[in-house]
Amino acid sequence: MVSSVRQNGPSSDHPVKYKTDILKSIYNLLFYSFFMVSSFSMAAQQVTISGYVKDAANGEALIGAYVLVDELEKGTATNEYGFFSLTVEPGTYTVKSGYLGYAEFVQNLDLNGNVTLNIELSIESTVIDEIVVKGDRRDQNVRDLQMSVNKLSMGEIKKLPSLLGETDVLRGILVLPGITTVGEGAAGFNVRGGSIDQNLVLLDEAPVYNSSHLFGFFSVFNPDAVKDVKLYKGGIPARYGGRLSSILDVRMKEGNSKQFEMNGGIGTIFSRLSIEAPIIPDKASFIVAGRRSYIDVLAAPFLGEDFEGTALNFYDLTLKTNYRFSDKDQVFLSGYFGRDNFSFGDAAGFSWGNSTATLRWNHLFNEKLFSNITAYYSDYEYQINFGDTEEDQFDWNAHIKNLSIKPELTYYINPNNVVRFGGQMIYYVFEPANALAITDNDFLDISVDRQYSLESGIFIENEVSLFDKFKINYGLRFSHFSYLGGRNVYYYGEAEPGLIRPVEEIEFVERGKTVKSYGNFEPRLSVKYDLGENSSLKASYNRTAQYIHLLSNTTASTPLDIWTPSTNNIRPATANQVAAGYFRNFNNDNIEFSAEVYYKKTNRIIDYVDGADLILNELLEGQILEGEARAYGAEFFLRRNSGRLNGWISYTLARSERLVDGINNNHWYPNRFDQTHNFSLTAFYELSPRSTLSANFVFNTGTPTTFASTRYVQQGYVIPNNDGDTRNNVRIPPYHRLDLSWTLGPNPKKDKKWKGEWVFGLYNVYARRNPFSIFFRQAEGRPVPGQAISTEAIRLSVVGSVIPAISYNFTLK
Amino acid sequence: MNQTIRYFIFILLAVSSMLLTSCEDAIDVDSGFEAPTLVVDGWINTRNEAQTIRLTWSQDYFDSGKPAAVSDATVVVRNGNRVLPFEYTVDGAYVWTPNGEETIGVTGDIIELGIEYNGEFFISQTEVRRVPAIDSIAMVFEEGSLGLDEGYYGEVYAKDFSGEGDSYWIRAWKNDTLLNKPQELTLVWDATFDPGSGLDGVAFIRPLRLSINPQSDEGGFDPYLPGDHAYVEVHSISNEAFYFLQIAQEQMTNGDNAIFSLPIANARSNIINAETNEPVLGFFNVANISSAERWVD
Repeated sequence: MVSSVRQNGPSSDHPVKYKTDILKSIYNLLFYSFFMVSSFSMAAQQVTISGYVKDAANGEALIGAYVLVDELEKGTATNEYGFFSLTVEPGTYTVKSGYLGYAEFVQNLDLNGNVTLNIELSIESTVIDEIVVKGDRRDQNVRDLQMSVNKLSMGEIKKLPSLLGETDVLRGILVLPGITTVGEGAAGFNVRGGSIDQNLVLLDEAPVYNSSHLFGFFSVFNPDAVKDVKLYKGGIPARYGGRLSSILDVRMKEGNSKQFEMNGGIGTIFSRLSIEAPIIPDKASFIVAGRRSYIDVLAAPFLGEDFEGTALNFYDLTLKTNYRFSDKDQVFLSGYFGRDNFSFGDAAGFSWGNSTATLRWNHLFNEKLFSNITAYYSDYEYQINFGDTEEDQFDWNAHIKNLSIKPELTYYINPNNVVRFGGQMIYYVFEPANALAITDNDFLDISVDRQYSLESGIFIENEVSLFDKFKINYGLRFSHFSYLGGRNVYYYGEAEPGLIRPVEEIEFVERGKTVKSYGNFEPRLSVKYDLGENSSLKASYNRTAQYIHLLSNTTASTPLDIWTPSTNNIRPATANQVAAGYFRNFNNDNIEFSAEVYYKKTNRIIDYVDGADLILNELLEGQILEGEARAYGAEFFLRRNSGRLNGWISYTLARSERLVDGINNNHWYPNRFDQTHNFSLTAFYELSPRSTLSANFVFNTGTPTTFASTRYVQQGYVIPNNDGDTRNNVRIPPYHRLDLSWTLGPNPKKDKKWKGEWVFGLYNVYARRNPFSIFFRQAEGRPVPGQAISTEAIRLSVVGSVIPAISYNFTLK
Repeated sequence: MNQTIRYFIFILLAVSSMLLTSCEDAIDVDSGFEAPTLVVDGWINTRNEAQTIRLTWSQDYFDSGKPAAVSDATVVVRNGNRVLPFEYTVDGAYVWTPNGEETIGVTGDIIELGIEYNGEFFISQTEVRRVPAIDSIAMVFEEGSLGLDEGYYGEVYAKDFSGEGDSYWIRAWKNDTLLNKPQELTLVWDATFDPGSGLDGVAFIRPLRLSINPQSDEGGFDPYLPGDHAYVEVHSISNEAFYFLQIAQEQMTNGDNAIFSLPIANARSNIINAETNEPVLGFFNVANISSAERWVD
């Protein structure tokens, strides 16, 4: 445990000189226009303790660590950058700080002026079955205002049994309540009945539009570079906006600022390597982390000339550096680049991937006012080409690019009153298709024109504690979206529900002119009421708006699916969600329990006409149907934090449905990813200090699908028909699966530079053929004219047997 | 963009069957079929030859027998003042045989269909659309490579008319065997797969030209060998017929899409009950046909 304490004197209570004029004006504007709340707390003379909480071993800022003043029973948690600020009356206090899995920091402070307190916490390295954290704040489950949040530590994620032994940040989150997927291998995830595009996936605040490698099997986040993962399913604070259902906030490590460190691993799919080191000790550090799949490399020597030019690989590279250039300023620069490549010689090639870059600047105006400005660039791109002759070729690429700036300020008035405010602007360029076709020597540009738009938002939120037992976070976000010119704009006529609408008018709108704008007020509210030492009630309401939409009508989304802005024809979607929950801890906070119920109503969701063609189609807006959705459910979560046997049980009872004019005879029908019951049990058992057995069992109700009832013959073809015109009215059999893994770590008694760890895993232990879907088809082979054709139902199982895996991970310090 | 999705499936299946032992098993389920309804198979053409419209009953999806015939209906086709009776023969087939040089009609004619069955009337109408001539059938020799057997691969060259909104159906026979797998059903919108691309008035794009090669059960092409014969027809179809066949094909081959399957959809008929306006299963189209053939030397 290390700490540094510095007395600043009372004079620094007043704002110091501002760094830039821009910041000053934003600050002034927001501060004075919104700020009424603070006045009542300004009366008495007060002092502030502020600083950062970091990991003593590598200097990484700890997010959500608690800092509290024991005598006053007042505390706070560190923000995303490890910063905290506590304002109290002068006096002599005991300050404590801790974080799950770390030893508690305790220090007595005689406070008569402002104090900077930088705390470093050490991982408790004693025997694991001893209760590690003895601090008072293991009761975050109960004490935190925030509800409807799924959070797992990277340590837990790494211990989870995984497909082919590849630690996966997203799959870890999926075993928690409220989350479903349409099936194995499907990209994305569904939160409380929302479609996959309703999740804002942020990597160091930059949005990632496709979070999977190899369709949906592996997530794009390198586990060695990720520090913290948090999923907001409800009670979404006003500072987040842009998606209806959830925010997945992935934060990258800053890089070891104490010493050189190398991590890596060799698995079935990927090899990974990451290097992190200080540039200037405790002031600047970096991390570089890369992964690459190597099926192609391993297979190459065994394949003949036939495979020349064939590529099958995916990789990602993550970089981050930071520099603390004064006591009040720190900058972070992070980048991600990932790609999936597949090609079949010159005949056909595909590749897709995300690139993001984020620049952030933390600035402390004073002990109580923390600010951050983020600027990011994000680009999701895919490329396709066909044809190996000069006469006939097809080249096509598509992008969604965005550039954003996002200032945010947090004012820590006192431990009972915190105000955050800020804004965001995002400039989007959608390139649905830049496509060139050459057919029999004719050159044809069949591109779909770019779409431009601007999304902006401002927010204010205030978190206050009242009458000891209440804590409230209320806030308001105002979001605004403009669909801009620079292309043809289409106006469509009416059509029978469920059919393609005809184009009535085409107008070219110049670049920069606004075609259509939309605005939404998004109120947010979270309330917590303490029932006693160990339990609380929480409730929340949030309204969210979403202005960009993923166009996808397949069961699992493909990498070709494109995003579209809201236009004059596609309206933004909004959702209202209410949730309430009971939170209770037992057994000296070692056991956490929560139960939540929610109801979410979504307006103006997107659906499609039958036979819709969503790509390379300038007129796709005419194929879009508008509908509404509702989702409701109950989520239960029970977790044991420590002891030789720990883990959690999660159960969700839910329903999610939609209503679209022209589908299912205009009646409500369940979403393709709806699951009535969703149960999972995850357990870790410490066999010895160096070896852990992990198990994961999941059960969920089969997803709904639609069967053909009937067949009829046209020109020798047997065509399926669904006579009732229903949608998703039958369910495929339930899904259940058990996974096991055994982790053998290094001997904890030997302090070696090189630490290796073996992981042996079995996925789908009892080899169940879980159906992804049931489809109908005619028997394979060429039908003989005049003879009857036989038709059958087929169960598709993506994983058909037990999948073993071995991987090796290492750390060098 | 079925073509692209096919490649994805190929990658997916290659990887998932290798690593994950993914599999498909035939299983028993209940289709929920209730009662048979009338089906009209009304695809006729403007050639000077006998034309057949077939009336049958729909079946339970898992009934793998031949559909039952509807034998006591009255079927007529009308082109302006000409009323052409279709006489019942066998197996639900109603046939019209032309006199001399007679045909159903020519490009631009509006043709009507009328059916009377059991006191109910069913009607439809369609326009005869233009069809481009087939310029040539090329046979290109390819050496064996990944996913491609050595042999000759046929390409049918035809050029779409200028003006958007032409739709065609390519039908091909190898050695007198019709390429009749659902995967081989080839539809053309202008010169490409589907509307909205802006492509118009050019030669059919290469994947369409290659559609005259039979597909093997593994999904690749079976090449032509010396001595083989290729016969190709291009049928003009109405836009409604294009959408009907497009949805029908998507649904017949939806299993090939694995995890990227489309939602179930019903191909939309253009034949309705004259009283209730309710559609009946089936379709009515009158095609102009162009054709060409080629022997492989």
